Amino acid sequence: MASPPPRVTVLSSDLVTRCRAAQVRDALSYADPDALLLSDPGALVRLRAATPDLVEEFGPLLVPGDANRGDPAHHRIRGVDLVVPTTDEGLAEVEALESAGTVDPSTETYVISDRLDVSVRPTSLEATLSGVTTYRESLAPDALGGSYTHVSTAAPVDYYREWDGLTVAGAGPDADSVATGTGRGGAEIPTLQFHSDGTVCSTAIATTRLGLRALSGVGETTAGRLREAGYADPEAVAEAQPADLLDVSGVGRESAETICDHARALEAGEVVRYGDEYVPDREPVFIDIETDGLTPTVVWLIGVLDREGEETYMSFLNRDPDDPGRAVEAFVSWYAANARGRPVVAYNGLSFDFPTIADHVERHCPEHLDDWESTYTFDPYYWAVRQDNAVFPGRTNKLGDVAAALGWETDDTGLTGAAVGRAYRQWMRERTAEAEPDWERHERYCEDDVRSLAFVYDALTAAGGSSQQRTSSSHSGSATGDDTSQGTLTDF
Amino acid sequence: MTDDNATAADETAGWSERVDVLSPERLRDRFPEYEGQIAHTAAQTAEYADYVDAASVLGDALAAELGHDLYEHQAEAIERLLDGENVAVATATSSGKTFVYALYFALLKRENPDARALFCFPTKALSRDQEGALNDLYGDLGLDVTVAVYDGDTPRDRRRAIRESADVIVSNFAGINVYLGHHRKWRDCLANCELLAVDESHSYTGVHGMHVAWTLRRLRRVLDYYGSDPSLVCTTATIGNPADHAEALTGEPFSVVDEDGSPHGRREIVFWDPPFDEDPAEEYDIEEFLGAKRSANSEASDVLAHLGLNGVQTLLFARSRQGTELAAKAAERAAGDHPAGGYLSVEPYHAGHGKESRRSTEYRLKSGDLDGVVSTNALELGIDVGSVDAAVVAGYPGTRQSFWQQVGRAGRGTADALAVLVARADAIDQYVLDNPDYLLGDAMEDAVVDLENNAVYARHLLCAADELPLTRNDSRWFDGEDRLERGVEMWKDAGRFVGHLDHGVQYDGPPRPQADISMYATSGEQFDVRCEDGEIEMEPIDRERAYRDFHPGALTLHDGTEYEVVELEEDVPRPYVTVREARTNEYTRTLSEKSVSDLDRRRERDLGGGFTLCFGTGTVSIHYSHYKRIEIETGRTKGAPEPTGLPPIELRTQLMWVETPRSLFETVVEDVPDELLAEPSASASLGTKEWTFLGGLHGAEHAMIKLAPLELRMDKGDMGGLSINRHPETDAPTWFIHDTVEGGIGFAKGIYENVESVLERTRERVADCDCGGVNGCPACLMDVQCGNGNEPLHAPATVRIVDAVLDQFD
Repeated sequence: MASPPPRVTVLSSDLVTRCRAAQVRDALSYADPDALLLSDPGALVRLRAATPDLVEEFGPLLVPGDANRGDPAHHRIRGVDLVVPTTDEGLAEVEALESAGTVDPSTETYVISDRLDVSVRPTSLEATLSGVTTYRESLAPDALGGSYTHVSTAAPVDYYREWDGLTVAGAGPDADSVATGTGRGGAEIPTLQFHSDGTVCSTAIATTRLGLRALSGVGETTAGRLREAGYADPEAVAEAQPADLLDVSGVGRESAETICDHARALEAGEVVRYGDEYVPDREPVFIDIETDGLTPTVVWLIGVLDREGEETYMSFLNRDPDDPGRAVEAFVSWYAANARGRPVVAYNGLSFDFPTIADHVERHCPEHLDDWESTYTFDPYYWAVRQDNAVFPGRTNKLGDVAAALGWETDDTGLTGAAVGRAYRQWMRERTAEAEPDWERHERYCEDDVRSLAFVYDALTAAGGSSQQRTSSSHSGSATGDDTSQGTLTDF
Repeated sequence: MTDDNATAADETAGWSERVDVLSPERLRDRFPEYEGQIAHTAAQTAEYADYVDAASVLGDALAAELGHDLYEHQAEAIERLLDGENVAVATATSSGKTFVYALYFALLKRENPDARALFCFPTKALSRDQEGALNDLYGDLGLDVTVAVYDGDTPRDRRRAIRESADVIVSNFAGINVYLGHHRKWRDCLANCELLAVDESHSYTGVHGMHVAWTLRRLRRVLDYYGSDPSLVCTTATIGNPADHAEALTGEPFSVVDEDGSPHGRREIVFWDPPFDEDPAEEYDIEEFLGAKRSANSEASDVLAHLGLNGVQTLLFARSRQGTELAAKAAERAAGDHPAGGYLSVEPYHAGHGKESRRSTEYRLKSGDLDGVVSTNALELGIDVGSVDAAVVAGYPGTRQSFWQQVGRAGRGTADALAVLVARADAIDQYVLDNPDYLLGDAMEDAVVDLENNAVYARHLLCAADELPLTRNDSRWFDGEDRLERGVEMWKDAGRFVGHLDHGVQYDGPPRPQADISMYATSGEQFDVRCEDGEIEMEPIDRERAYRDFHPGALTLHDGTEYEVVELEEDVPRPYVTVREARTNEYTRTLSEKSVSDLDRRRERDLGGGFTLCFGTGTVSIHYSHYKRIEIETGRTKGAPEPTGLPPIELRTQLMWVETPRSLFETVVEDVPDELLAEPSASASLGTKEWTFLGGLHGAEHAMIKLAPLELRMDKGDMGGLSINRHPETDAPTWFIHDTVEGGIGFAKGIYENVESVLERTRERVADCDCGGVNGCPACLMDVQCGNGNEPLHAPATVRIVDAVLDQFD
């Protein structure tokens, strides 16, 4: 595998305006990007004003619309070409870059601009990509030999669509409201990874998890008071005792303990558990499923880690989209024959993996439904985060972040669930050698997830109940004994 | 109508003992300042019940438990359900429609103990009222059936138990829309659902009706996924198109049961026209005219007092919550001033009162402790308050169906009943006074549910894909493959959908698209209404309404309190307007400039002679540019119009329009005597004749909009219009009538389809109006929502223009 793909963090004027300088710094230290993409020239002006020192610290600046940086500006980062044209002329120059050998036509080239704007007109059931006509005229895509992805800051992050032969990907952090007028965008600072094979992945950190607000129970008001009291960041809080925090107005005994616990968990990379809530006592079966989307029509890969006896990792892979029940049936049969009665553990399984499997069992192999419905399931995410039984040390509670914070060394395939799903969907549509997914890579991605899940689970078990100075009674109020995640599947 | 048949009512006590209470002689003697307000009276004969032996439908055992016979319509409906048909029951208020689906479910339950059902009601209050009644019924029948409400007010800790075990779940469509997002939690209920009942289904029309229709399709699609295909029952008040409406709502064919077998007593109907307090001046504008006529509400309070003092217990329907409070006080006061002099006990009733207070009023009414109650239409929908002797309706409620529903509240069992309609100074009320047969005939308005609005369709498509992957098979739920494909392609282009219809299209946007559905609006953009100095309970409003009625400086009344709008903030993820309480002696009217462009004709009828009727879509651009302040007392405008500071807005919506030949101008103005030609207002750049002609077109547009509710269940507030002597696209004198919601609502289309009868009623009303004024009055041409301050309007020109169009139909 080549070097990991370039990571590009995106900031907009709006994000820079809304975050404090320390939060922007925090976000960038956390994301550790190779380049910074400013979605509009105004963002650069604001960033310079707020934190001038940050501007050069995280690699080159990519600023569509800012002609001072060259038109087009070109950067090769970790073996991937990023081209940032400003004007029509700059766009027309892309071809010259290719023919001069400046960009490598054997790998994907990313053309980053603010010119392709996606919008919908529901009254006529039409979507439009404004700016595409001039864009195409200037670019003359037919003259290009390499493969290109056109990244637009005027389309939302995670947007990915072919428009008449033009591959368009979104990089706009505020652009979520574009399509439907339902604005929930702008709450996260995204980081994009541009792979040499054309895969675009994104991760993000919520602006509400930056700086002191990374601590659970700390909102904007409390963060302000902590700062006034001299606690500049979570590290400073980690060194304090709960009693010290009681001097900060508005912080009571219980929240002081929670804040300190979490600060230490973050600092030390540990799980903090509350109470003596039950975790399964038998050795679990760890799983992760890959599907073709969020309301899956197919579960095509199930990674299973079984550590009882000799540790085995199994990959139930289904390459044949015409037989969508295959992987699920194989897994459920294996489970019934070899692991019946043991807990099945999946991260966020209660919302996704478990109901999805139940659904597909019913659809494709209903004879196993009773078996599966009586299966004992456990979702560490739900148990810890939603039921308040533990605090994870990650900046987000996504599995990758939690595992990394606990010290898991990831086998970085650079993929995300969304990219994996996209690859399989393309395979479903086009059964060509070109569209065939790199199965081995996807299996590695899935395996890494399953193993990191086992790692997190072990950390959770090792933390034990009431491990900190916290008494078990202090949290008993929020532990709901009668509605735990250890139920049968019909409980979700 | 006669009543020579001896009736069951003769034996029972009713107001008929005092039958002369509203006779002209009696009124002249006893009613303060009686000036002949009674314009017309009519009587309906009593009807005997038509019974069917319950055992023949329900079987011996269940019939024995029930202990009484069924009305014929109940029996027929249950039989058709047993035959596997979906049934729409369209009979009168209190005719026992609930029994149809409640008893049918009892039969289902005996066949299959696991059977479950979903009953949907339009309001939470009605859901709770019916939950109790249904549990009582099943208890009496000795059946182990539990009925439970599941809606936004259901406590969290009860929800799971209800989902998993209640035999009948009672809910509403705003709730169902959300619950579909986690249908797996409802698996057992959905997989065993054998009956889906939609009660008061006539209330689902317009934008709300569209949302309910798509929500029902999504529900049926998920039911289908779990292997269920429940029987469908719609119960509705009598509307003109029960079968079509039920089919439009649910997507399935229905069999209609509308032969009402329930009994009622003799009913006398009195049409009452309030007098002028003072004669309006020679020249008047709309505000001055409305000020001169006695309001329907005050007049109705006097009628209530008169009836109460004569021992006739009365329910008065007023149109606003504030109106009920004022009228209840006014009635008590009027009783003191009445020649019969005395004390009356009258209470107001509306949804703003607490539950306790409403229960108490209901009880006191039933027990006879109250002489009268003044209610909003909160008491129009099925809540049980027993019955009263008389119902007074202050202002025609907009539809015949609603009128009969309200007056149906009077008449205990088969006792005689009295109904009084007190008219307002409004075109539609005055039309009804002039044409009592309109109200007394058998015909009813059609309920309009139009599924063509793509904006609403597209939003429900997002939800559907989130619920289950969309495939080609789903074209049966989503109006065919072509439209489904277009919708899917749009959302794929927008990045909201992934996948392909061959394998399954999935939702890929922010979580819970169901939460973004506003059941009363077509566009996503909704303005919250906030109050600067307290709370205000108000549904979010759409953009057009926000610009028209909630621009900064606008004064608005809500629930009896006056507010001034201080801010309209649009440039945020969730737009809002801020109001603060105000106390002024003024109100505001918004002035607008409007244009219509980019017409796309979808249907047209060439009437010959250069007249063409058209229906299609177009862009309506409205600039709510100024507003004026008007003193309530005098109706006088204070100061010059002030700018709203708002930019124009554009709507892409449905329109109908009438194109006329250019020669019509000459024909019309030739006929108008010189002294009747209108004088153009100072700002107008037209000559007298052009101004008069435009007044005719504008008048036709206004009157058609005002009178269209006679044919269709619609709110004229959802319509707008534009009249122009020569429109750039039609190149002819034209008047347009358009829907005011993005994407359209089906009202302009309804007018297009019913244009001949709307024109006939328009002609009749305008020609017969006794205002006699050239500019008309609120009872014919003037409209409070007019963005041009009711200028120009010209009654004689209007009549000539409408006649010219009607001539082409002959």
